Amino acid sequence: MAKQWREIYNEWEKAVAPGLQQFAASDGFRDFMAASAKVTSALTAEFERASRRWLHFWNLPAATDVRKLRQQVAAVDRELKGLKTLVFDVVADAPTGDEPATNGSAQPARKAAASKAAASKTAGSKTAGVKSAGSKSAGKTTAAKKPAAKQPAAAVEVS
Amino acid sequence: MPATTSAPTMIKPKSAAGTNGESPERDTQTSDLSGLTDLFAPYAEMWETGMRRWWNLTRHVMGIDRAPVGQTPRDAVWSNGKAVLYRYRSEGPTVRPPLLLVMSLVSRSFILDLQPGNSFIERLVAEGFDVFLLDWGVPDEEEANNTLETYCDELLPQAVAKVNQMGGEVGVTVFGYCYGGLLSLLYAAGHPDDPIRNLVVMATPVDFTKMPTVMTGVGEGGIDPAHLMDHTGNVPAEAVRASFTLLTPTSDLSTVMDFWEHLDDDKFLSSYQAMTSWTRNHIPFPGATMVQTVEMFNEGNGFVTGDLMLGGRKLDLADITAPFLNVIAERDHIVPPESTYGLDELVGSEDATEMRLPAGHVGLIVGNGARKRSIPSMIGWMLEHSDVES
Repeated sequence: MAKQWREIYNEWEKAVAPGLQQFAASDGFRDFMAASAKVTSALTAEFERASRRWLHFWNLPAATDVRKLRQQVAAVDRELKGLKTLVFDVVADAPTGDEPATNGSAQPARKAAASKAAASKTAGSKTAGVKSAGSKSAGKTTAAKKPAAKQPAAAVEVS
Repeated sequence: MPATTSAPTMIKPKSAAGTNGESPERDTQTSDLSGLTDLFAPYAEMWETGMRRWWNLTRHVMGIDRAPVGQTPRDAVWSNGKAVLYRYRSEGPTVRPPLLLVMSLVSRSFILDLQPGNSFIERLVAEGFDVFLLDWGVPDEEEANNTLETYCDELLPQAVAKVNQMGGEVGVTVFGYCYGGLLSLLYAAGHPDDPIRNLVVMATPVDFTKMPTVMTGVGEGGIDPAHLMDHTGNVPAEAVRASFTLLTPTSDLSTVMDFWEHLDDDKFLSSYQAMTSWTRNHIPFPGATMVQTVEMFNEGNGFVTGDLMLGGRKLDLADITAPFLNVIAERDHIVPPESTYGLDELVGSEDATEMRLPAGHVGLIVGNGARKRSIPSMIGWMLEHSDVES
């Protein structure tokens, strides 16, 4: 008894779902969605314009003003991050008094560590034992790796 | 003695009645009441079930005692903007190199660590992996201008460098899920010199002409990406969710039916709450990345045509030479298997494997099938391609 309603639903779903899926995947539905998104977008923009005019008439800020400010803050933030990265790169590339200039190659310690990492790689690893379609032949040694990317100042370490 | 006062004797076994000097009248009464008990037993069970259903419904609706998700202990070790790198605690990892999980941009990362006993990450940690997770966070105005370059040329290289450094500079196994796999591929192709020891992509779209129309209907001749964006400049989470719902229009209703059918099952309710908190809780898609994805993949089918541009340079998947695994879910309705075949032929790795598993998009990492089949298969491949301390 308890499962009877479920069986009815399952039968209904079996009958209806493929048709719905086909409809949702059709070009007609895609065109409808495209038109719907366009209309919704246009209506929203028009409503925003009208309400902004009204609020500005009373010398009040509208949501679009706040949005514009937030976007400007975000842009400044991005710019700042970019500058931080640039400064870090310049500082990292500048030769220090302790070590000889290496023709622009910064962070020799990292290079050495990365070379060690590349060397520790296993040569010619095998393909997995699971179902494997089109596995290429094993046996190629992976390419030696260069140093890890530099840590720009924008990255923050969290303890 | 009135029948009402003798009610407690109803629980005594019938054989006990009349043996302790009670009157024959009482025996008759007990026997009658026993019959009544039998008569009402099914109703008592129904009452109990009904009460449990009512309580479960109440606590679900009121949000009481919600099933917790993402319980494996972890620490944030690095961040850049909203992107956070987590390292999962373990009693000394025994597998090298460390494993970096790269999540999709449109879904929450806790799907990889759903619930204790049903968690991909928990299992990886138990197997001895040093697990890191790169969570992109929830974008707003600040991330609206993030492009594929932001993720593949800035954040991913930084995160990989950090993981490599923390893992002892032995390289990194990069593991991308869904769109995270796409990002991992672009990153690996664009940074062939980075310390990528192994590359694993799971349920990652490659041939966009074989993706569902609902997913590829944005772009030329379809929905204008600009019309999908909200005031933040991102595609809102609701639109992302709607696109997934349209793939299986009756799935939401079926989920409600499942919920109603198993409402008296506490364990089911817990799993249901965990899963629905993921499926109904997507993340906005950064606007600029959306536009770029539409141009490069929906319209250009970049992986197949080879027309991949990142940061003004042309990418070639053949530049990926690390051991490579492409995990395909054969019952995936979001990224159909036919859209992911052949990736192992496109990369340059000599050691490239295509692993086809009988699971759905999420079933690869969640549920019984994942626990018994998918996860052990993936872990097996990664162990074979790692150094394991005994």
